[in-house]
Amino acid sequence: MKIRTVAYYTFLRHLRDYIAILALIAFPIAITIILGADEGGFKPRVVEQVPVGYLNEDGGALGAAFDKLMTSDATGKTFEVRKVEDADQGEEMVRSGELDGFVHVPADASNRLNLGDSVRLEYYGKGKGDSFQPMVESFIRSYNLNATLLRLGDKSPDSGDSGELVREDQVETEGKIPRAIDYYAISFLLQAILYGGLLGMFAITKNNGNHSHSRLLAAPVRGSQVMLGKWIGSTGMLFLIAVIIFVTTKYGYEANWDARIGLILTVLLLFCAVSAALGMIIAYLTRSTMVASLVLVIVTTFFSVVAGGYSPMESKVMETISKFAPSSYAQNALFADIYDKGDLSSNLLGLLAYSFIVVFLAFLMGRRKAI
Amino acid sequence: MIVEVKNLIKRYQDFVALDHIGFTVKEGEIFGLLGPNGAGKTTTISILSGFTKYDGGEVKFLGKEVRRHEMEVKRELGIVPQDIALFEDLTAWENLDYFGRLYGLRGKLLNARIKEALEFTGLSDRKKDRPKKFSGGMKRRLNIACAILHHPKLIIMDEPTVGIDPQSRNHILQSIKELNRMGSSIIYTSHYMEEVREICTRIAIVDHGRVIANGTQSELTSLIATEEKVIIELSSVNYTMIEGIKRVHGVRECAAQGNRLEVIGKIGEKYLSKVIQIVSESDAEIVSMQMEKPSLESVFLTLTGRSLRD
Repeated sequence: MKIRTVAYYTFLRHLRDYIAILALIAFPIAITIILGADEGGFKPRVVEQVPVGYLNEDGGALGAAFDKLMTSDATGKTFEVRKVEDADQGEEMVRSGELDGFVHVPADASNRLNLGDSVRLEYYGKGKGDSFQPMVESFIRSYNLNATLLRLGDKSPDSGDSGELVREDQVETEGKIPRAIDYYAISFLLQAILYGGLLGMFAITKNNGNHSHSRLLAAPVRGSQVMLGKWIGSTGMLFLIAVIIFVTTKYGYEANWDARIGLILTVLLLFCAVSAALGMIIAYLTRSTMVASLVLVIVTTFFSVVAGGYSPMESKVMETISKFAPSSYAQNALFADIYDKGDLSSNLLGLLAYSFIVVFLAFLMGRRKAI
Repeated sequence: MIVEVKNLIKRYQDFVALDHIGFTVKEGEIFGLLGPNGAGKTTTISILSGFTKYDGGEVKFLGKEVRRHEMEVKRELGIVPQDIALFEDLTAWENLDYFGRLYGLRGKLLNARIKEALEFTGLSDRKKDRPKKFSGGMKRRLNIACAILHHPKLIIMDEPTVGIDPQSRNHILQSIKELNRMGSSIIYTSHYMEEVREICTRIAIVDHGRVIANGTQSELTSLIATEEKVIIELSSVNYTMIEGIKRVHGVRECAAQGNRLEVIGKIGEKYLSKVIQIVSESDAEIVSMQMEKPSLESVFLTLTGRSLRD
């Protein structure tokens, strides 16, 4: 009951700090709109056609099938196909970088295949990252299989619809790659929650300023009860702020929050709990509103940067450092569910573990110093 | 006894703030704690209130050791700290509700007690206002209201009238007497002698972390009741007159401030007639004369002055 009393009045006192609350709500929404208007590096890149070449000297079924493959519409969407007159020329064009890959179908390949001899298609490619070679290999497998079926008496050899060898996967980017506003709606909401650690901090340091801590010290209430009450009250207020920002960016500015609502709220609530506890820890350590505020700003900025709060960070070093930032777990969990990018469960577990550790630390410190 | 303090010790590293302090507070009395700044009375109050731990000795409340029965003791204590301890962003009602709940009050009882406390302190019409809109006196009254809400057996008041207007101070002093009449014991600290003189039944004088005198007002004044002061207002004063008075048997000191003579003499010695004779012989007229018996001020100044010199 006493924890509930402290929590309720902590929440109420935060709510009446209109200026802080307005700033915590307005700032991330404003920044999201401003930065979200500049698509910058968030548009999906147009994939250019890959230049490849071939020399078909076979006049039989194999050569015809390969011609059909290379001239199909499906192949044309991905590859810029060029016919080459000479095998050496084709090899040279790959070496010079003019072509990414070159195939030579030797003369009389179909006849030799019919006689049971093996046929080798010569392929020249870049090696790693070569997208043409897999297509050629698929053709070979497909043709080999069909050739076997023919030998066993199948009258209509199915060389396979050459279109199938180049599977046309229309990559649907809408909703799967974040636009600028989608990215910042999440990252700045999480930043706002991090900065909202100020509420946890104020729950401790404000009492020093108005001496009300002396009355709490004299009351028959344990330090741990006061600490838990303040943490719950601060978390509750932060969560309310987070929900307001979430609803505004989702419905007011149509940011992509297309994830399970339960998951979104769970991630936000956990993150609010972490932030409130962090603010309280900093307050216990510094015991000064000014110093605590400064430390909180530094910590929050650091966590935000390493978690990609201002722009996506794609570096192994940053990825390692980001494991110390709670916002990276929250952000990655949300991105995993919305954009199928990353591992949802490991990030969710990471956030849960982080919140447990931080809240436990705050509890240990607060049970003696809480008031 | 409601409070028993025996050989209380408190150290801050090498500094001994309380050096074997001891006193008792009887149930139903208003006990005054007097001393100069740095004497140790705030530290004593802090220990009794539960703000500070102590390093040695014994502190009992209603027979229970405070350290071992912390929560039980706190439930029966009401604290009026020297600094205003209120939430300025909550209304008067909300402040009382918050603290009342921490003391275990709920529902109708809590509401009734809040109304009672507001009425007692004259703040019923300001229950929906926040303390930041209150005057200093009103804040002090709300400070008291928060302490008496749960009907504590002992109320500790640390300089509750500092910095407020005389009207509010009188209101507070009358309230304290009323609280005492209603059954609360009170420990009261103040730098204002007239307040202590007016309301306290027993007083302890503290200096350098020790109780140097303890008792009722008459018991304390009898400690230094060997001298008295005679103040004579004259038409004129001269050096010869002053030196003559100083030589009178029984006179310890004679000093002049303008036309005003202050003669300190030993009680029981018949020196006054000789002093008047000397004044008459110097052709000065006596405008007025009054005698001051030993007071609490003189006890305080005498005892702490001697200790300071030591």
